[in-house]
Amino acid sequence: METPAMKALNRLISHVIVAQVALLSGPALQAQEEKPARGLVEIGVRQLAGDHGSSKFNEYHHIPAGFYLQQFEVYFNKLPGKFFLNAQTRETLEKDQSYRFGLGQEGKYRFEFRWDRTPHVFANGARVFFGGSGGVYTIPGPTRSLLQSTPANLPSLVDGAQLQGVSLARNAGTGTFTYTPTANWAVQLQYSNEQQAGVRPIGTTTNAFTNSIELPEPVDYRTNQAKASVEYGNDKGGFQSSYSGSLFRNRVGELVWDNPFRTADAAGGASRGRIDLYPDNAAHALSFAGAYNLAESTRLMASISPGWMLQNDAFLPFTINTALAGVPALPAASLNGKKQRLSMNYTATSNPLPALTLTARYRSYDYNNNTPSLVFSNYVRADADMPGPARRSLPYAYNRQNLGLEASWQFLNKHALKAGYDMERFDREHRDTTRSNEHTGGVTLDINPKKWLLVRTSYKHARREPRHYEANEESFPLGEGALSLGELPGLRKFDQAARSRDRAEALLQMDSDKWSLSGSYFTTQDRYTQSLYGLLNDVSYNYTVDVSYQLRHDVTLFADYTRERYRYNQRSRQRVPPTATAPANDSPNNDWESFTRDVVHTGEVGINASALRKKVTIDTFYSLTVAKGSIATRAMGSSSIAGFLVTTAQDYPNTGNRFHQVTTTCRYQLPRSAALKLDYRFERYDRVDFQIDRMRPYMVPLDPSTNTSIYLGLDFPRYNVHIISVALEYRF
Amino acid sequence: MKRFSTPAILTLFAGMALAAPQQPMDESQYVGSQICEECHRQGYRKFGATKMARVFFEAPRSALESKGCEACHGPGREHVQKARERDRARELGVPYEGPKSSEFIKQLGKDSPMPARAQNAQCLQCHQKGQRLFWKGSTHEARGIACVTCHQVHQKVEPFQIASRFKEPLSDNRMFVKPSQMEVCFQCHQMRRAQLQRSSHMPFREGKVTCTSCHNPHGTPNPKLLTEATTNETCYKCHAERRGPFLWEHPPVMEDCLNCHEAHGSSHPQLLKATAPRLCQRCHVNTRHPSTPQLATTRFVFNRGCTNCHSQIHGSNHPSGLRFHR
Repeated sequence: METPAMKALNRLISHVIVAQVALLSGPALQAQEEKPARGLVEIGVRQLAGDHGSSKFNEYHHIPAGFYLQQFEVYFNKLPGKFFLNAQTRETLEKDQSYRFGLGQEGKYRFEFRWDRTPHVFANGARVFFGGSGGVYTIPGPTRSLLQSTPANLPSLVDGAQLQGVSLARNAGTGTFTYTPTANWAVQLQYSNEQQAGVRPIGTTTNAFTNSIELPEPVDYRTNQAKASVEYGNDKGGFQSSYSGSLFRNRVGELVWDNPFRTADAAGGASRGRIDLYPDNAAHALSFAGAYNLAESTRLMASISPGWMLQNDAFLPFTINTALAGVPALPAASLNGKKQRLSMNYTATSNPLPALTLTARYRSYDYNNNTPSLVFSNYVRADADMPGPARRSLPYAYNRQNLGLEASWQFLNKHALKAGYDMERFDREHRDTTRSNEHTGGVTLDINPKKWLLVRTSYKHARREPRHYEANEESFPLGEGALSLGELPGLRKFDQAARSRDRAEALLQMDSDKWSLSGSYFTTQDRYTQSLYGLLNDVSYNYTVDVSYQLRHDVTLFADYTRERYRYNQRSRQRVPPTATAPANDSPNNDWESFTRDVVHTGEVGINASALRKKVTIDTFYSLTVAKGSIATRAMGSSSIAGFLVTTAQDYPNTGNRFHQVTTTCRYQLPRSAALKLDYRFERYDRVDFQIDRMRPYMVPLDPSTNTSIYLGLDFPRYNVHIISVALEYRF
Repeated sequence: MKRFSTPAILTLFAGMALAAPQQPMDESQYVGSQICEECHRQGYRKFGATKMARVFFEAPRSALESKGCEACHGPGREHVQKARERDRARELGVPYEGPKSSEFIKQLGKDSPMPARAQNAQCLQCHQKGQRLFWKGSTHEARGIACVTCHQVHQKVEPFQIASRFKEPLSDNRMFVKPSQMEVCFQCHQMRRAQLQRSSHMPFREGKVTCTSCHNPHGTPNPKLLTEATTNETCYKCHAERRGPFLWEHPPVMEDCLNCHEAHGSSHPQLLKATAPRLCQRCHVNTRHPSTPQLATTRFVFNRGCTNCHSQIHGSNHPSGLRFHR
């Protein structure tokens, strides 16, 4: 029984076939060999079935039903005067379309222009309880009055909230002009403009955190970037110098929303909330790089690049709440944020013997923060109250230096043995460690004993040692004030902590005319050797196998499989700070541990086949990704001891997702450079995630403390989508 | 801040310098590309369609480029002589016992008897500048990777001949041994192929980003062959809003995006290495709610966990934003 959709599809397919026959019989195809232009056009018609409106399916692309122009490419490579011109489009006129246009004179100059659009769909069904636009979200006064008097009316009101899509789109255009007056010189100018617009979810709070309000954050960004570079190179060496500048502008600088539960400002709760969105900023960088061959066997390379990052957006007031008394004056009208970085690299590499390479490297990345450190005598918490104490903003900065020595011996023509040592010195300002040193030793062995066999192996061991670790250094006042416990003394933040790292890697590749087999193993094992709390270890193992077999000269089978395993262990302590009347509860009996495990299996199997002297080709594959995650947590103390707090140490429900994809493309070569393509694709995505599966605008059934909170109720639904398309591909 | 001793480094670099004179070009040893075409007709025709051939044959910019085939394969006089001697012997029906003609030409590719470095030297005659300025001593060079491991020179792969499982940004530079640039990298970096298939990913599969959007496989002075000086500067190319400076900065964010994110793909939302709140609790162990394990059904865990409230975690410019709420 033919459905109307199938009938429509059949009609469209018939039209395409008729169209291709008409094209083939046309004079345009005559004597195509003489034409200097070459190109391709692929047009077709597509039908979708299933959940093709799913936000996850449409996350980064757009696959609409109906006619489409998949790609158009044209190359004029032999125009008079050695000129060339080419143009490409893909996903033409769709929401993920791309265009490229190039022209120039061979060996002299070229101009290239690109334009690209990338969608990013977060969700289709966000329930937006607010009205308004342009960064101001409002709720009618009567509704707020009703909620202020009776918050229990919230569930019935949010049920009627409008459904809205939450998505962004990036439109980026880039023009590049390259001039090569001689083979040695090159000058390049580049300018790009990117616009990013749409909405994405953002979490906000009012009333000292009792109201969590999730909103669609308006995004309207413009980023202009310009780059100019000049380069010279010959057999002795070369140099490159460039300037790049980037200006970021956010056209919606703040987000204001009505507090659904208050109609008027008051101390302890504002009628509106306000958050500062990303401020405008600018970045500039100069780069100078050079290389010189001191002799045929020795090359010196250096690069020096100073850069500046600037931000001076006007500060918003402390609060939008007009009822708060005693709000202090701002210490400055704006930040006048200034960071300078200086990146320097020096490398010398030499072959004292033909098979031996010695390399020495020194790198310094100096990240200076000259942003003023401002003192705020108080601050307003969630537009509600001023808990104090005074705070100072800290200009975090660091300097990272690396010294590396390496010897590489390429023996018996095809094998390589490399040994290296690297030392990293990391100096930081306003962080828990002021200096850490990391020593890394490593060896790699690559052997290629037969044409069909290649083995690559490597092993590295690194040890990082902070010279002194002092917790509580990352905020001012240190340790968060008088009635505070500060950081747990045994905590070592993983990015600064003493660490032992082992990393091993192996790759095996074998092939012959008929088959190929490769496999790899990769492990990273980080152990934080002096950490009593925080992340204790981070271990991962990855295995891959990749095979292909040529069954016949026109049939190839392939398959690959990857298993990834990640394991993180961390430890913490539940603590209660002291109050004016009660001492702190800071007992080891309240320690708890958590174990995070992630396993991902990825497999793929497929076939590439051709028949009838390659007139018919079939490419098909099936891929599956299965990810599973678990978080187990346990209290380490005893509930029978007084002051036991850790009553919420429970395992979280397991998470997982699966992504299936089947793609089959059958291509039939018609006479005169035309081909008919039949394409079928199936995608299926399943997900189990306790964090988002039960999200609704009103979350009281799950967490009673959220009775004055409103969420967007975002979900990332599972989907099954079938796509069938018929296309005519014509090369000219 | 104390630095390593600059004189010691300069001494180290200078001590590695060894002198060796360059060989001048002997014109009498070159035969011209037309002679090559006589025997290697198919290869010559394929090469002729490439951009490199158009420059060599139609608009050479240097003496070397004007040598055509011999610019890469070296002077061909002896090679041609030996081939002709062999052909003459065949015509006469006598066995040819001389050396193979292939021994007198520079063969490039997987079956070449030349080591990778010697093969690469042929390419580097012209391609030392641009992205290859830091090739020598780079990770791939030190491990014996040849240019021809990834690139093919003799045949331009037209974009429309490609049937790849991975879309890529539009380009007219497709001189790869595989249908797509990503598949070239996956030859060795197989794990990355799996990571790109994960639920949370950048638009790699959709053809909007590719490996070289962030990395330069030809060598850079930066870590992990990044095109920019650091991971963060690489991320700022697309996420310029996050670069600040901010009034209130989150120091691990400012130092390295990869403290929290896995750029190649993750099973967790927003490319995170682990889900909140556990990710945040790796460091935040002070008091109150960050120190509490938290039930799965609370606002500290569901949805986006900690960032339900601390949404400005990449930095805040609000005077009341020190805890990244504003």
